[in-house]
Amino acid sequence: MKFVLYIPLFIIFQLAGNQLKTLFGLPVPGATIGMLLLLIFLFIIPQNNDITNAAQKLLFHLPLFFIPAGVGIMQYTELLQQDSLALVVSVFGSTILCFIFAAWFTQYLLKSEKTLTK
Amino acid sequence: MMQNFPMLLLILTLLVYVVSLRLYRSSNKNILLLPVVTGITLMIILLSVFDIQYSDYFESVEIIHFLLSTATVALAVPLRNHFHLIVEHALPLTISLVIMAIFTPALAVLSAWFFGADTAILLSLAPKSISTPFAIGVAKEIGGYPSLVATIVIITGAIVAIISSHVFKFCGIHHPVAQGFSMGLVGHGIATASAFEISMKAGAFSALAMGLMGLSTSIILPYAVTWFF
Repeated sequence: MKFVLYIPLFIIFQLAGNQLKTLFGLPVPGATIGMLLLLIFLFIIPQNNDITNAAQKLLFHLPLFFIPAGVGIMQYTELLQQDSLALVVSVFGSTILCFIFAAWFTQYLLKSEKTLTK
Repeated sequence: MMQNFPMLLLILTLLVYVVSLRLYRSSNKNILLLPVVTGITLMIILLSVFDIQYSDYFESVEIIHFLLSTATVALAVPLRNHFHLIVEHALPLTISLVIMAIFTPALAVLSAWFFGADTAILLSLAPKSISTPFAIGVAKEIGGYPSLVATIVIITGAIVAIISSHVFKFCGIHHPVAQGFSMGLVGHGIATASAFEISMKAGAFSALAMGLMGLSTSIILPYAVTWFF
């Protein structure tokens, strides 16, 4: 149960990120800054199973944390109907295309890395 | 009547989540029953039935939304743990990341622009391949609709999770690093969950790609948008 203690640690970095964002007027999300700060912190401290556990437990419930924001879609029904064709093409078409390209391209690069180093 | 009992909405959301999770597991992880999708759909139905405004609902469950950012911060942990793997394949992964961080939002925005979507919709589509907590942060920054972004991101992730095994088969993608990395690049957290079902290695690289993509896109997009719009 020791991992529970590390959730407040993440929250401290989250709040620090938000503070830095407002302090310097950065256009980057506060949580991103918090994540960078935590990453630096994790390189300073020795590797620790409880932190990994805490992160895993938290990330496992990611679907729950999506719900409040996701439900907001009910506000945009008109907008969605109005631009439905563009949205469907962009969300379905470009996602499928991008994914095929990403998979092929990454494998291509990994294979050429192997032949280059040989 | 129910908006007078904010605790009730909070408990209802947790119940809906537990039900969605159960449904997903009892369906043998049928990808069409992803807990995120079922959870949001059920919650919208309930709010409509009880005639509750979204703003009232959001106020009651803001604590859950707060934890979304906490989870984003926690993504630093898998990034730290897999750091030696990044170093090992640093060059090809960096090239792939840079190209995809430009190509993915560009293609999403251009294709919607071609079909006449308005600016706010375009801005909501730009962060569609990054993990929701990043994407919502970016949407607030650049002027998209945060809720619309959340929905688009979730659908994008679900598409990648559903098509991945077919794509790998038909395009001959056998390298576990390429499989995982591409799933995380385009399909963020939802696809990462599926990548872990392929292998631990694919999952680790998907988590890595998701973190890097979220990080780079949420830093680049706000600047890119001020140039283009």
